Amino acid sequence: MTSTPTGKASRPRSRLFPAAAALAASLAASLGAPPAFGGEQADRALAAVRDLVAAGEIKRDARLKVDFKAGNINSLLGPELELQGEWERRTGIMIAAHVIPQQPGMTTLKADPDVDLTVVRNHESPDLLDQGLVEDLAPLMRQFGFSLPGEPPNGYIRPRLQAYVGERMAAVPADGDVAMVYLRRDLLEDPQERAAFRKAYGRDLAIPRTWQEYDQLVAFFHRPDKGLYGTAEERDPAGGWMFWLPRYLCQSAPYRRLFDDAMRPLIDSPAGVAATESYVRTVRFSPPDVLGEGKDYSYLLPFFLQGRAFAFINTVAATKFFNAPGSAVKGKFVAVPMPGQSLGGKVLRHNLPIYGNNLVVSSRSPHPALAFLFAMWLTDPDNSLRTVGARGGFTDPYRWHHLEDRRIAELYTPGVLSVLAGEWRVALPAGTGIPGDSEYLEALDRHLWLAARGEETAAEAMRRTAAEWEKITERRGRDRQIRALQAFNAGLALKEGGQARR
Amino acid sequence: MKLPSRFGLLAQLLTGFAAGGVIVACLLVVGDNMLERSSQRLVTMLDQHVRPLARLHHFQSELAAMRNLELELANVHDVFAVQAHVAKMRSEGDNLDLELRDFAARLGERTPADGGRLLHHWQEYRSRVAEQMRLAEAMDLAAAGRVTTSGSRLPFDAMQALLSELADHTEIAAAEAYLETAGQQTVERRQFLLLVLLGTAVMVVGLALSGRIVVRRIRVLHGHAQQLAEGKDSGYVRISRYDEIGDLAAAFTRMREQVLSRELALRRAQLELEDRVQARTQDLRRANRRLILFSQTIEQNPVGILIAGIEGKVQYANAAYQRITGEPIGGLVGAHISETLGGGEPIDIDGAILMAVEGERGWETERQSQRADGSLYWERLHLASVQDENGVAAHLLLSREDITERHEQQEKIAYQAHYDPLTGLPNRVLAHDRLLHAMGHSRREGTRAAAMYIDLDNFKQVNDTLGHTTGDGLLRQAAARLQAAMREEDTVARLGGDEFLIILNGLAHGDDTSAVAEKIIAAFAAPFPVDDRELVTSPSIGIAIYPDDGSDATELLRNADLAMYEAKEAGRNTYRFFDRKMNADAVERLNLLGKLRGAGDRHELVLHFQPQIDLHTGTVIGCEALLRWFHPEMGLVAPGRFIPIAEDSGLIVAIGNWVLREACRQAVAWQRAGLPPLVMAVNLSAVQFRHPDIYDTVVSALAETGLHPSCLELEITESILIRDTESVLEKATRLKELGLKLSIDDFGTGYSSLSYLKRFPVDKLKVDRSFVQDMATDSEDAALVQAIVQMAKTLGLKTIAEGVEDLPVLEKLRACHCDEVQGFLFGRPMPADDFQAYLERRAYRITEQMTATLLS
Repeated sequence: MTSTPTGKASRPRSRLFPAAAALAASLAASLGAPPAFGGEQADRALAAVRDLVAAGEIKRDARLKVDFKAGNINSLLGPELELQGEWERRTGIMIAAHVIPQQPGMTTLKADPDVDLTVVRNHESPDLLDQGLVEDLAPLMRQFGFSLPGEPPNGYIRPRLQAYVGERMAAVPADGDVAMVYLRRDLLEDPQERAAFRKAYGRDLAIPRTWQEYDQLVAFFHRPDKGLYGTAEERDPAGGWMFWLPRYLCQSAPYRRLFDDAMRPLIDSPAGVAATESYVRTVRFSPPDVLGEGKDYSYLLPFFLQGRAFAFINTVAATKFFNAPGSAVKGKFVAVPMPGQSLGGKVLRHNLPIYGNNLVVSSRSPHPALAFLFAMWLTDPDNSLRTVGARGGFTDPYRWHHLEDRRIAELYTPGVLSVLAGEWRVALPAGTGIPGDSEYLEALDRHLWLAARGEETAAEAMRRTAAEWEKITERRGRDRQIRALQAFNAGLALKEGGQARR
Repeated sequence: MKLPSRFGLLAQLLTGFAAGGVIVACLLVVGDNMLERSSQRLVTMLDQHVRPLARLHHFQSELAAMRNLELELANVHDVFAVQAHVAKMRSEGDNLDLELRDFAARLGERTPADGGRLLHHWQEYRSRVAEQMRLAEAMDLAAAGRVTTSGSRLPFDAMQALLSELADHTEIAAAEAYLETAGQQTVERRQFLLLVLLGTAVMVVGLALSGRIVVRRIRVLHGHAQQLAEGKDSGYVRISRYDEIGDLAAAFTRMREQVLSRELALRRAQLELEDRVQARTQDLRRANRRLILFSQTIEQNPVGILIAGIEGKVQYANAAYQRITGEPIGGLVGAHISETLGGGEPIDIDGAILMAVEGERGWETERQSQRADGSLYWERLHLASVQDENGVAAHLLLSREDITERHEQQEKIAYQAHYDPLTGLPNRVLAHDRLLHAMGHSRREGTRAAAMYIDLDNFKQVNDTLGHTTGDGLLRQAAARLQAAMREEDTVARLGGDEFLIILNGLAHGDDTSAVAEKIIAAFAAPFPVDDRELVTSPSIGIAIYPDDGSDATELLRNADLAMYEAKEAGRNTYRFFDRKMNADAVERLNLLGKLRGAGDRHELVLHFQPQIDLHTGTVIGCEALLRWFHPEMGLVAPGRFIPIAEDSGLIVAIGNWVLREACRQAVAWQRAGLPPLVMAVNLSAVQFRHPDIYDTVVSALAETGLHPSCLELEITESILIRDTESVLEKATRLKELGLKLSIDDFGTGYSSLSYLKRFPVDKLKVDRSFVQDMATDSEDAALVQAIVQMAKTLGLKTIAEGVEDLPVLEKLRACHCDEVQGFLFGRPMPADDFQAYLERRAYRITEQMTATLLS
């Protein structure tokens, strides 16, 4: 299935994707349904700001300093900064918006002593809270009577994955960066290709349901002599965990854990080795500099956009580019669910929000309440539609009603949105979920990179990573880490609009 | 006379204004034309030179910004940021394209070559930029960078050069146009100024001429008015009358005549007015003095006074109000009257105001209030309305008087009225009230109540012998013991003297009071320590039960009293319940008392006389007058029955006085009948003796009858002597000084002592018959009589024995050397006539045996 540039659902062009077609149809039927509480959250936030100003708790000449990354300042503050202007007009509080490079939130928060609000990735929250760099927003939520509902159609999508660490609330979700797989639909539907594939692998050419099937497709379409690479997955030294973890989590039901209850690493196991081998296996079907430092999605996305790669894994934001004028794959690609692992005749799949742009309030903020209220105002159902709907940004749907809005569907296509909804339902938290996450992930990334370069075997990589993880755990205090892990798991077990729990 | 043709002031003014207006209008038209031409030249210059120049500069700036976006694109590394950057470049490019195309079209109208060149260069540059954006969107950033450095740079430079050239040309043309326009404006300004000067000169000359004519005539009129104002008669005003000034002069002349006549009338009216003002002023002064008086009266009034509007808003409060209530005046004014009442019992102020407004006497009450400092006081509040001159209630007058002292006095009086000051117990009045209450309660509850009448035994002796102070001490202690023996809900009251009343209620049975009575008796068992003495007294208790023994309080008390007397008679220190026989006795006593009243008037009272014999001579030396009551129905009533009743009721005083006068009268009658002088012995009861008029009564009896005092002997009892000794001594001494004799009756039965026998002027002791009658057979009585006689002789007193009825007794008396005797042996008491016959028959001469006995 695909979508037209106008966003209207079209009939499936083949029988390849019946499930995606059904999802798209049901989504299309509900397009245009307005959120039941649009604007209420924003109005309450504005009223609270006015009350604080009237009470003298916020000075009238206060300025709210926000640090946003290049590329999302427009989407977060609106096209032509219209949301910034509206906020300033309605509250009288000016916003000093600063553009920062793509860097960890921890770097931003440590470098800028008077920033009020900035964006961080999903997996960063445990470390930021642990180091006291961000405010626990739960008290502010209670103070101003807000909540982060998780139920459709009006709630945030899986707020437990993006906002909470245990009972503490680190961030207000402002993006929905769950990963998905992009494939060349034109090649999948090509009769000659289909025949050749059947001949080579003895099965129909179809959307891969498992990582093994994915590997076959990547290998099959890898034709560098014709300017086509099998995949454009990231394999640079930083961020490898994002592409390894989906392969690891599905190794056992309900999901493969990183640590046992005593914080002993579980990755130096056959499951960890298998996931690593799958991760490494794509390297030889990738563009030649894929292992280079800094060769992230900005390097790899053009391969797929220019029609030089068969597969690409990234967030749903990539859809905006692939559907844009100048894209060589416009109308020729399909977004499909993340593959999984076949276990007992069933395929177990898991996904995770790999990047994320969540709003956090600096613990050194001169105006924490104001920053929090701005975040709630910005993520109001109406205002968030304006940010997600901005072209040229990477703010993706993060509230359920975004998936049902006609304008968003025009931008992403209904088919992509239906896949996105399905991926959120199998999503698990990004990273480890405990303090020290950046250290654990840095060790994992490093050994994954070494394995990808062939300098370590998969087993060696996992064993050495596990050894480093043990040292990190011992250094941070095993009991403390065990308690943090228990708190994180307990928080995930809390009900979240009927979604899956980790 | 022919009047000149009329040309009024309005016409003159209109003519002048019209002429001036024409001049001004001409000037305005000329000036407007000049300004319009100048404006047109400026607009032309703006459109043709200034605006194009500004837009050219704007295009230069926008083009530079566009170029900057091109260059920045090479530095954008994040693919998501590239997309946003390209969108911005596209937006900027589209906007600039629209503006440039419009400008090129306008430019082409004047200089087609320039317009064409501009459009050509712009399209050249824009196509390069479009290529750049297309490559960027296709993520071919390297190719896009090449376009920036090589492909678009030359078109950009050409475009910038063309814009600069056009700007330079436009600027030169604008400078030339400006100089030309400025020269034309200078010439036109000079022409306009000349025209303005000419028009102004014409208007000034016209105004001066017409003004001079008008002013001259007004001055003439002003001169006449000035003189009239100074009281001078200026005469007729000579001014031509062709306009309003002429009319004014004529009117002025008429006014002058009326002014003169009215001035005279005004002077008369002024004088009259001054008189009235003076009178009114005096009235006001008097009213003011009264007002001050009233004001000071209120201000200095010791009663707190507060004045409020009829709606209740306080307008004034005097100093006493603050002093009494403790509320500062400053805080009262402006408050509602209900807010000024302070602490105390709440007041229905709305009801009070209604009564104050509608009632004739206003509203008043008394209450206990509390000041702001917490002190309590009693006050009387009175709220009245004050009517205005139309009889409508316009103000409220609240007076508050501190009556704390008066209230305390009333409370004290109320206390004294209901409580015995000596013991602190309820007195008779309150006891009566409590008894009524107890009876009511008993009636409602179906229970019984009891009245216990208590009299302290021997208390009179204590009081008489040890004094009132000691007696009071005993009473206080007795009261305390009674209270201690009772329940708290019972009433212990002092009825007076040594009489107490205890009221019990809620009794199931009348017999329950036995235990209470025994408890009281037990409480009195221990001696009472009073003034270093230990006194002994006991209670005699009479008990009456409600409703069995009486249906009302008076009856119940009376019956309890009767029972108490029964207890006394039963030997004291005991209790008795009332029974009906007691009542019967009391009824009889009451009947006797009723019949006794007026018995004298009905001549039912008579005197009998019993002879008294001198044992030494055997002759009758006197007699004792004895009262007898012959009732028509009851016959002879024994003295023992009616004398106590007479004493209790006080009738004894009147009866005793009658006896005294009658005895004296009879003694004188006998003397006048030729009988030898006898001493008439008359009994004085204690009540009679204590009566303050006894001396005068005796003197009066002697004077009225003419009896010589030496023939009168007054017999008094020992009890008279031992009570109130000083007073009795003084009274006895005065009576003795009259020359009469005093004897002590019933001697030996009381508490006589040698000391008072020695002090009192007594002549004789009358030995009581109880000792005399049995002395022949009772050696103790004989010894006692002998001791009395011996003691009397020692003191120089005579003795007389009464109740002598047989010879052995007579013998004993003689042996004791008793001086005189009296008894049946010598004669019973007999009427006056019989006694006279007794003497005339010499019956007083006793028998031979008796004579022998007497003279042996």
